[in-house]
Amino acid sequence: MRLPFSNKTERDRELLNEYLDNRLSAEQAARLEARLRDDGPLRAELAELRRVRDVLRAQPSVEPRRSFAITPQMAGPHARPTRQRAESPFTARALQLATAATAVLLAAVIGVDVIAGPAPVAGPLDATIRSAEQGTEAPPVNDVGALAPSSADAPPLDDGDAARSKAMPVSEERSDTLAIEAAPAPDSDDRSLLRWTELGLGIVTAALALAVVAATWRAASRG
Amino acid sequence: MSQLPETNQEDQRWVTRAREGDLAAFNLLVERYQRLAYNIALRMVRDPAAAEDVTQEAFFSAYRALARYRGGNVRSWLLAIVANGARDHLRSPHRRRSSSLEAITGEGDPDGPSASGEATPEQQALQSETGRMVHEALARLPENQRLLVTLVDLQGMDYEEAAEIAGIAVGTVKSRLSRGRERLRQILRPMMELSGDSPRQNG
Repeated sequence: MRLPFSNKTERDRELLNEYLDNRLSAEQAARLEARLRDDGPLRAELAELRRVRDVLRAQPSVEPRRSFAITPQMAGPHARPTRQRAESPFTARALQLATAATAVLLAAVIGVDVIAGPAPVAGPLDATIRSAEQGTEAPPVNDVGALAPSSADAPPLDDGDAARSKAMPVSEERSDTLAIEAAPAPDSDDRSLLRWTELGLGIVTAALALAVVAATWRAASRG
Repeated sequence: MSQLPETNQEDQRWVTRAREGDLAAFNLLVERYQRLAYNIALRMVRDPAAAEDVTQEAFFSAYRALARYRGGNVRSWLLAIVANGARDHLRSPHRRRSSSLEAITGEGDPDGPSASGEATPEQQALQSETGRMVHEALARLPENQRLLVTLVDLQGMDYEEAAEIAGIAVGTVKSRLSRGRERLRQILRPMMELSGDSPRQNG
């Protein structure tokens, strides 16, 4: 079939298309419009091209039947989907504060521990320490014996040992050591209060440390 | 349908976040452009299932290629990957040959979507006589002309973006688009004459 516009050059067609798409300069458009006024076939071709373009542009776009989002499984090792969130300023700041608080609490526990002195041992040692401080006699042998290892194999103190023990004064060096350890020790009520404080601080510190470890592990496993 | 500058700035922010590992940011891009990408793929490969495969693979390729993104129009970069994927599919010796219109409309397939009585989106787009003829006419264009007609006339892009997506010069866009439209005009003339609004020659 011979096309009515087959004698048009390739350049003419390009000009018509560019005119249709408003791609020509004002001067080029004016020249083409002058030709169109005198060239019926050219006008008809332009009208058909416009119609084709309008038909194409009227075609609706199609909604896809599914999403094409990339899942973490698809992304595999390429995905670091939550690192950005794990390192968000808020999370990082909270972790820093929690770590600092843990350190401060730990220092407080150690401080209280130092102030409170060694753990109280009921009975004759305190009496021995007090005796040493006051320069009085050591407690009775039987009382000292209570401090001895409770092993059944431990030989019982005989009367001679008891007499030596009773006569033996606490040495100067031992006395100084005990004095250093015992001197700052508060009285029984204060000591008990400090112990409870230490225990409370220890629990809070441990809980906070666990929380920091858990948060860090979670952030690391995400990233 | 040229892209707004602020849209591209937002796209680039999402790309930056995605390059830092934020998959959700990349999926914002997918959500924004998946319809456009799918429609280009569908017009190119003419088979809904194959178009889905091409689109999914293109977004996955883009995600893997984020490190190689060197700036510029994000939409064009993504759609160029889609266009290349569609061309690769068409050249693949293993591609399915069921790219007929029936495969899209479900006609002739008792188990197909049309059997349920509800038209799929593909069917709705192609059910009309005009849609069917346009689809058939596009199928008869060489793939390089079909891509440009799809980008410029079906998606309303300007020559510059079409050139960027197709990876060719703007001058080449003009010549290929001109030839593609001329061929479509010849194919579609009977339909336009039947519709009664074909212009009469007066010379």
